[in-house]
Amino acid sequence: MPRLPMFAVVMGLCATSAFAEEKAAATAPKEEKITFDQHIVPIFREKCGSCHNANDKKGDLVLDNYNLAMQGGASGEVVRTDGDASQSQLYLVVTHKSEPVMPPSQPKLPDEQLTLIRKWIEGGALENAGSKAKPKKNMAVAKVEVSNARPAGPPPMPENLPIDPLLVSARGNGVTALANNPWSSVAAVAGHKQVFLYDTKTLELAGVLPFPEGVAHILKFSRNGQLLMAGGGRGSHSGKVVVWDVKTGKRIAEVGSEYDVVLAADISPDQTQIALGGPKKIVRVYDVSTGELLYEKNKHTDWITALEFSPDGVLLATADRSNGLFVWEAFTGREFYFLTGHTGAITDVSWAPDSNVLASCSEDTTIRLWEMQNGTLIKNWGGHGGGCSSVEVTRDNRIASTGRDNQAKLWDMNGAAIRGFAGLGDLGMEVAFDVETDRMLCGDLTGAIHVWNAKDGAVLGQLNTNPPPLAKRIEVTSQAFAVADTASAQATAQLAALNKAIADRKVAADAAVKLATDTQAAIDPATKANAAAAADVVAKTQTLTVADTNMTNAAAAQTKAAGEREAATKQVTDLTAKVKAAVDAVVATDAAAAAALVAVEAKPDDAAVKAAAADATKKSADALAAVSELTKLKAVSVQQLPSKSEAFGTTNIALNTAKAAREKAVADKVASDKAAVDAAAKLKVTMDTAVAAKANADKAVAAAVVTPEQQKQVTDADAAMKAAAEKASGIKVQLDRLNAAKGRSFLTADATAK
Amino acid sequence: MPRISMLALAILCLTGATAFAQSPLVQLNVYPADINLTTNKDRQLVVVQAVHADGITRDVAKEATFTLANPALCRREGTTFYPTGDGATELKVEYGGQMLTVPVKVEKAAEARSISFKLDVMPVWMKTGCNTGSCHGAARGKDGFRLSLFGYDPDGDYLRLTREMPGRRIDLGVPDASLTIEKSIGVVPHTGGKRFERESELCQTVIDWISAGCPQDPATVATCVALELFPKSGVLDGEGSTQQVTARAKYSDGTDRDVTALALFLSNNDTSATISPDGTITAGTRGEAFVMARFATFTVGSHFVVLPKGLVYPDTPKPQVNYIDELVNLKLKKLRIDPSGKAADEAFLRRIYVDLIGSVPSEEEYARFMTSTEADKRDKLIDELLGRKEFTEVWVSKWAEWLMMRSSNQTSLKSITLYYTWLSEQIADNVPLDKMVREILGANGGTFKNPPTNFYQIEPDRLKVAENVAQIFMGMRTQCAQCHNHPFDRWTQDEYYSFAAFFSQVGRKTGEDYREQIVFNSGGGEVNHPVGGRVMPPVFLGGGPADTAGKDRRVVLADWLASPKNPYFAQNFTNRIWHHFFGIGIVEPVDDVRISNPASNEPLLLELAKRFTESNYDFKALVREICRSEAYQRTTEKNASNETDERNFASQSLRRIKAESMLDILSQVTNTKDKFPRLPLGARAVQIADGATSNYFLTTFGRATRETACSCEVKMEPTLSQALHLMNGDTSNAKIQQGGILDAMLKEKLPPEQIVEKLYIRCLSRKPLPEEAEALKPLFAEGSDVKKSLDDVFWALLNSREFLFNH
Repeated sequence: MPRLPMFAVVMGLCATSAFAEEKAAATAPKEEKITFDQHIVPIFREKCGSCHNANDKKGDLVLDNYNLAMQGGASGEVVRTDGDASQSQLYLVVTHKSEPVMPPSQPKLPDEQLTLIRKWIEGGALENAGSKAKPKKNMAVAKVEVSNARPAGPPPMPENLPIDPLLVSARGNGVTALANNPWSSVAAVAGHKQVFLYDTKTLELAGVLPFPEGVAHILKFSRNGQLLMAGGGRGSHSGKVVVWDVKTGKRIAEVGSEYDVVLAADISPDQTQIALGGPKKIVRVYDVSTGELLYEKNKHTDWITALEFSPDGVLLATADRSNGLFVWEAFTGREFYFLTGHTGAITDVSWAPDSNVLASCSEDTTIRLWEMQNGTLIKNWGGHGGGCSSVEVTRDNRIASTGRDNQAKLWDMNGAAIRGFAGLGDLGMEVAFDVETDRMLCGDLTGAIHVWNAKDGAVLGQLNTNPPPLAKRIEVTSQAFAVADTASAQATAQLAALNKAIADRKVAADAAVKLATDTQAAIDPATKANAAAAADVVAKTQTLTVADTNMTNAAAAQTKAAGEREAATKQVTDLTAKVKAAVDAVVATDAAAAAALVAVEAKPDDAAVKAAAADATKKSADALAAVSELTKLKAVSVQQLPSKSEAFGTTNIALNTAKAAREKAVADKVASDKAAVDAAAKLKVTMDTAVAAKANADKAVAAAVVTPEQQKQVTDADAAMKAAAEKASGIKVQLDRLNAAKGRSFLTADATAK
Repeated sequence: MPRISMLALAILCLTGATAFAQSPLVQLNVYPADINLTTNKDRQLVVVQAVHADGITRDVAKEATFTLANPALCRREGTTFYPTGDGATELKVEYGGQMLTVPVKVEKAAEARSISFKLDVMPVWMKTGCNTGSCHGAARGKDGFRLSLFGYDPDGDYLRLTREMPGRRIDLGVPDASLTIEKSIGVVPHTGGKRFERESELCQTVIDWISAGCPQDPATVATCVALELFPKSGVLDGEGSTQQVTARAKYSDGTDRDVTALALFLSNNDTSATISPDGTITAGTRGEAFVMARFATFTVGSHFVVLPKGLVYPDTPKPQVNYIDELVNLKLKKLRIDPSGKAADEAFLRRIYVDLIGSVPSEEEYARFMTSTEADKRDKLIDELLGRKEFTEVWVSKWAEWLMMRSSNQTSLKSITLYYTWLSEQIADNVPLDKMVREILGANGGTFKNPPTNFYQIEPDRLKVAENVAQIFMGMRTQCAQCHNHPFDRWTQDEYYSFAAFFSQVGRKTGEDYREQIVFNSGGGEVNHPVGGRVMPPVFLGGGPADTAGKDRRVVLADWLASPKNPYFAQNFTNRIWHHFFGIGIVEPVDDVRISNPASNEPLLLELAKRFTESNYDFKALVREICRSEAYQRTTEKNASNETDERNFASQSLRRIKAESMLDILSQVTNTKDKFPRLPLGARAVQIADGATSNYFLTTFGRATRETACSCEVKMEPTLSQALHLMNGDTSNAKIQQGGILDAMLKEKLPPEQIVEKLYIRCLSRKPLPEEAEALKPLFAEGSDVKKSLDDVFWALLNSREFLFNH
């Protein structure tokens, strides 16, 4: 039987791990140790060193120095020390399994080199044959002064970060985490394996931070706004807290190694500590600079759902899913208060800026305020029916909250409601507040983050947990730009048309006025011509009158002459007759005188017969005297007759001349009359035209006057044009920004930042 | 001759392995009987079962030929049919020269049914065991996540999944990253391990639902109204043979769905038949199994018998006394089991005494029976014992257990004593069971004046009263349905509260004597459903709504309950009575009748119940029939074919004697008297009225405390403490000394051998075997202390297993 105990002893030996290891080492084929110094650095120098050297530091990565290589670059560590090559960024990019492929624009490294790199990583990424220990992480988070005042310098905004989501899914997940920078308009939103930074002013994506650890369940900006901290991970698998520089997007610290997601975390105001907790019920506080665990608290009996350092950094409040709410001394981890009161899972805690009041909210629907002098409840009010899910005390002492009633609410520090913000698509999950722009942000289960103006509750827009890819956004923005551009052009054209119409009317009015003036001017010559024509008519009339007179005179003269000639003729005739008659009378008188003498003789004492015989004798003597007179007269008349005929002939000629002259005068007059009529007609037409032109001109002038309405139209059109142009240029800027962000990666981002 | 038959057997066995030995095909079954496909999400798995002349069934779906009259309507993959075009046609199934046609109807073949949480996702949790009581279905959930047990509360489950911890369980953006999925497919640690594959249909269903944004069902979504499982039965030939089953659910909108992939399959006997999640039954060792499908609120089962491969069963005629034997033998024939032979007179004598009157035969009774040569001496003995008052006492005691007769703070001892006395009278008078039950349930009045009112005095809680009534009088455990739909039975919460409504108007007030309570019909009071607070109208459990307007609800219930309209009533009592005589019920446990716990011999139970009802619930007649049957009188020794059988009465079972009878028998054989509180000296333990009264012996031997209505109150298991108590405790030794039997016998100067024989007869109702007598002889050799030796023998007999067991 002695063999049995011996055997047992041997068995016992076998069972010890030392023996087993030795044995394993002895039996396994001796594998050569792959080390950085011996195998890897030559490859890195040859293939990577031209960019990733201590001088150029592309992407902040240096590969030819072991310690720097292990530190990693802008996007975090690139070589894992746990032997997982498939998770090491460096291995992924050189094997072209991940973007950006390395070396850029060159063929892949030869397989044997890749194998060496893989084996090196799998072997623990050793520095040299003698090395064993993992290099210590050197986190680049500096201690800062704790202050509630606005930090100096420009507000921290992301600069040139990639804005192309690493993953775009069919729909967005609920808003698991949301935070707003206290000092700038940057909101951080959790996505799948990434964190989005949004500009709350423009509601545009300002950066995408990779979070390959999983989904962030807590996002917090450091108190000075310079850092963004995310806690999260993969459910039931792993959890971590990482810290980025908001400006550069550089991952500058990571702590924690949970076995479930980190649900609650905070970075202390002086940036020396990070506290975290989650479903494993233990609060762990790490030193940020070394990543070492400072202390852990396991007094919580359920999942840690919320925790936050007080703004002065003295206290740390932690809360759990079973109503447990503790306040610890942040530096020592000593219990300060155990605050009892909530009757449901506590979902969030938030400190007032003065660090004297802690707000907590719970599924029991209440929001409670606790003071830190004695640890008593000072306010307690129903926040959201169904349960509150998030509360935040803003840096200007207001309280924002959301919950299962699909609303966000803003309260003052007395718990009086300032405003409610309805319209969530589902229960509210996270709330944040941008004091800089006075905007309220609330994320719901549908993945939408609603943004309101806190002042009036106006809806300003939405952010979401699943922004479209850059290319898509560029496309959409391009289209939007095209539309805006067209609209702008249209507005411009519209304005131009309006202005042109006004100008046109002005020109027309001017022309009309000119025409009116012209036509007015044409009246004078026409008047003159008319007057001339009238004068001519007068002259011609005068001439005609003269001619008439002449002709009348001539006719009269002729008539007179003819009369005289006739009279002369007649006188001659008459005188002839008279002479004959006188002769006859003489004869008769002589007889009568003879008889009378006889009679006297007969009767010579009769006086009457002696007077009659004396008269008859005198009549005979008169008759004889008449006959001699007549005969003398006749002779004179006959003598006169030719001159009378001659005079008649002269007058006749004169009459004919006068007649011709008159006829000419008449013709002239007719012509002159016609000319006068013409001139008058012309004058009238000219006058009419002038009147019409004047009226027209008046009308045109009136039309050309710009009414206030038209002025408004123009102003509006101008404003519209300007707005459209502004919009278009805004979109253009956005488009340019998007285009500029094309192909931006963390490596290049950092390079450009420099 | 035996050698020849052996040879024949061997030949048969050999040939059994070859193909031609398959007995001819007699019938072809195709399930389901019609195929209705609605929407492109639907499908139908068709099962073809061949029944052979020897009763063996085979799954021949793979060999059968399927011909569709219009092949444009369906696409076949394996034996599953998928819709491709609308219309109606016929499916011809041919195998082995037989042909069957199945009507096929296809509707909306091109339409997709939108994913539904209740119809598609909820079944996943049950199928994969997520919502079982040991996992997330537990009252407080598991690891922080709760689902309603077996999905009784889909709306609550919807809320818990999507909204209780928003952002954790469901990732709407990347459904694959949802914790629900990651845990289920085992890519992250999960206490419950991996539940399904990422590529599985179940996983895809959940993913699809999440991808669709976790839509909630409209209120009008169809509900499952029935579940069918095919084939209904089968006889599997040898280990490893398989049978595919197909499960089909019917919905309130008139559609049906193949839920073979979604139903949860269970077998009540995994050693005989296991069923895989896809519904393939695989035969194991010889036996029978009830294979169940559970879907929505329904559980249905099919009965499968597994026989050894190529078993040859010479169907020899079995002795039969009455219809009981006929039906028992029919089942045994199905199982190819030969019953054990008839028990010897001695064994029968002891058994019938213990079972009927709770004592062993005296020496004289032994002698009288053993010396009797009458052919019907057993029947005569049965009749004689049935007339004994001890018979009544045994059953009163049993009823007292069922009715939980136990004094307590609210039930005075006086009440219980009166109640017990009333009960004794009922049993002694052979009052028909229905009358008795009606008197109990409808009881009104003072608990002293009208003792049955104590039924309501013992348990004042109306929900518990309802549960007790269901358990005592119908053999059903409805307790589960108080908080959720019964996981293994048809009872829903609605039915539970509707049944409880019968007891919502029990009024109670204190009588003149402060110990007396007056139970009356208060005429008012309702039961509200815990979810939503609906007032539940009284509905008979499984019997439709009751018209209780203006009536005493309890009377209405009693009238229904104790009538042939209630199928469970007579079955329950016959089963309970049967259990007394076989140690195992036809349904076992006797108060756990449910779909998933079927009767081992349904026709037998039905026939017993039928005759019991027809005989106007003549209890003694039923007992007589049972005791006379060959099945009862079988030996407990098993033969090769029935050695694994426990439930088909192929042999009598070995039963430890009940606590009260054990003590009574112990006192009887030692000739001692016991004193129990408030009973005269010498009273028997079986006469104790009050469940609260006990002693160490009775407690150790598992006397019912009568605190609950459960049949498990009576503990029949032999335990170490019982053995130790008998060996070292004061009962057996003290009784041997107190009784002075040995002294008396020694005084009679009887030789030790004779004393030993008398002791054997007293204790075991038999004479010592020659080898036993031989072995004992040295004890009584010259010079030995005979008294001491006899003490030892007596002690040894009292400690023997034969003494403790009824066999």
